[in-house]
Amino acid sequence: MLESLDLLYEGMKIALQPSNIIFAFIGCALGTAVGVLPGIGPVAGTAILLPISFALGPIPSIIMLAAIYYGAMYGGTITSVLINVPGEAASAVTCIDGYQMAKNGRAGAALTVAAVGSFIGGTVSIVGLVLLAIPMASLGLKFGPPEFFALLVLGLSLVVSMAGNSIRKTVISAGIGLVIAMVGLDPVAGDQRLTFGVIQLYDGISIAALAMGIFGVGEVLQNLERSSRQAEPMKVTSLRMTRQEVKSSVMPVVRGTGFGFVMGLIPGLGSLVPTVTSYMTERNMSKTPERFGNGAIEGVAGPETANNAHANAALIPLFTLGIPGSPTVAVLMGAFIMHGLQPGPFLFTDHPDIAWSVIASLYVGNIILLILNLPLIPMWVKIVKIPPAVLNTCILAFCIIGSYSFKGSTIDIWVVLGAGILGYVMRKLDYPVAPLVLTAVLAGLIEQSLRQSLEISNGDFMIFVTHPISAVLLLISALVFVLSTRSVMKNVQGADSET
Amino acid sequence: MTAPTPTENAPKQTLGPIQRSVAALLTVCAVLLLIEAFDLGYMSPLGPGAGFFLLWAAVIIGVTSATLVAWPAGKDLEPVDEEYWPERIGAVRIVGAVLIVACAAMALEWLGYRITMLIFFAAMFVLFGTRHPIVAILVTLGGSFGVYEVFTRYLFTPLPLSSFGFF
Repeated sequence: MLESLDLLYEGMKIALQPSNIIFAFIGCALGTAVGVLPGIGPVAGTAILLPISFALGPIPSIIMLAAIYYGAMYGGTITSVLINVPGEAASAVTCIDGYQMAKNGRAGAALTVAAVGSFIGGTVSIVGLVLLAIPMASLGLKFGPPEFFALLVLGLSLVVSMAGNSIRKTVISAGIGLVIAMVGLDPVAGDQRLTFGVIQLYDGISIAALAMGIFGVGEVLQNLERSSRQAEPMKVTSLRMTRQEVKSSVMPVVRGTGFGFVMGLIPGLGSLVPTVTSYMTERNMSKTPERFGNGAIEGVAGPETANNAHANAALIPLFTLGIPGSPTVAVLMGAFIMHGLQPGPFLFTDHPDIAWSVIASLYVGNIILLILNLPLIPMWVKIVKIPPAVLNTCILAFCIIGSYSFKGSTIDIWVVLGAGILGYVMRKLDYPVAPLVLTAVLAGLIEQSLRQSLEISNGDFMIFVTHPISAVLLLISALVFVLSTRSVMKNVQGADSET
Repeated sequence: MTAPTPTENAPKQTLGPIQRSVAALLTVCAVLLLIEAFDLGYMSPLGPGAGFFLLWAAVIIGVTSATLVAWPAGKDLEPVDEEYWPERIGAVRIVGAVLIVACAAMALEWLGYRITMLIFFAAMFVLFGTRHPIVAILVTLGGSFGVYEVFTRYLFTPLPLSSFGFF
């Protein structure tokens, strides 16, 4: 514990250097703008803005990208409350009561509770990260390849379990991600896999380019389908909350923090689950559930807190075990790798300065976010008014610039374009796209740990059963998969009998 | 309780022909991947071969998509929005945008960043139409010449120059 605080103190000294504060500030501002802009989510935003950080060193670069990430998570709230359009998926729940509050003239209170709740949720999660970093990284160091393999398989099964009613389509999406991850040279034998003789594909498909295409170009293509009109935002008069509103928000914020933090630790769960869980809990616990949907502040306080607590807690598996919990965190992982760093337990032993300064910067970033957002709401509202033609063109241009900058080659522009078309078609056909990106990230790690495990055991697959941790994790994975499949089948049969 | 309307009595087919065709296409792709996986080798003396994961990916995609192809007509599967085709104007915008990005990718290393993006922005604004021509001109100049200066001068990220020596 004291060791963590010492290291955090050292990290804080780096994070508080003026240049790093400026990069955290720029990241928060860019992230909020990304969150505010409809049609560009945090994944695409973070991926598109990756090249801006190329010239910076690893610490300022990752500080800025992390700030973009959690800035975007908050930015989505502003559009949810003011124009009833979620800037990113996790803010969809906020539309229900946030927009109603705005219609009732309480937009300011909704935004204030969202900002304060996000700050509290985010800060508690960072405290959790500090407390868990050393123990989890130590545990990670004890994990051998079989345990890592099992943990990653659990992550994959959780991705599939989030399928809702479309489990087949989620499985197919994950399968496509697996195929995409196989492109390139085989890491052991050096055989070409699905490269079609294109030399630039020998290194494989860049995750950042894939995410940029699927989430950035894919969303732009979907936006182009409809002749979009600019929404007229609701007016924000006062940011003050009444005493009753403060009282009603306390417990939802506490519970939202708990949901977000715990669910952020589970890779693959996504940010929508904690926000929906928080909303449903608040509605079920309320003595006046009829207020929900009509502007109940608890319906904003809980989910918004859960959202930011989750966003920060999702960094814990990345930092300590090297496992990205969400597509945006996967892009962040890409940034680490681009700077020659491998997130995971060795980050704390090999590069403690980087690990702890980034963690410390999360505190700084959360404070900046709180200061930046509330007074600047009129400016964020103006961003919403950017004409769609300008916005879509700029997103596509950034995708071209960003993807070219990865390798200084046009191959990634083609990857982005191809992934964009794939993402668009998948959305049209109701195939979820997040499992594809997450699987593409996890597949490389799974392949590596499986191969290392089998090399240890001379090709004996029983190694995964004889190691108790891996056996338990694989059993949980199987249970998660079976239970989620059964619940989907039940839903289908239920729907069937109704027809 | 009201009497069911004829529409309610009709079988609720949520897996339409397009969904089924896509599933069939995925099944075919899975078979091709399976062949490729066997070519690469399932196991090697060092453990799983280069085709190990590809084979499993092919099996996952193939089996799952085959169940979609074989899904009984009229049986409820999952809620699906049946409106696949965009309006004509939307389709023109989508195809146009894809073509412009593809042309930009082809021209980037030949015309250089600045000229390519100047044409890119202009073409996009013509395609999308804009009510603010001055904004469009400023964005075009900023996105081509401005971004080039920022990336090369301040972010030290090289962007391509034209192959004919200037710009």
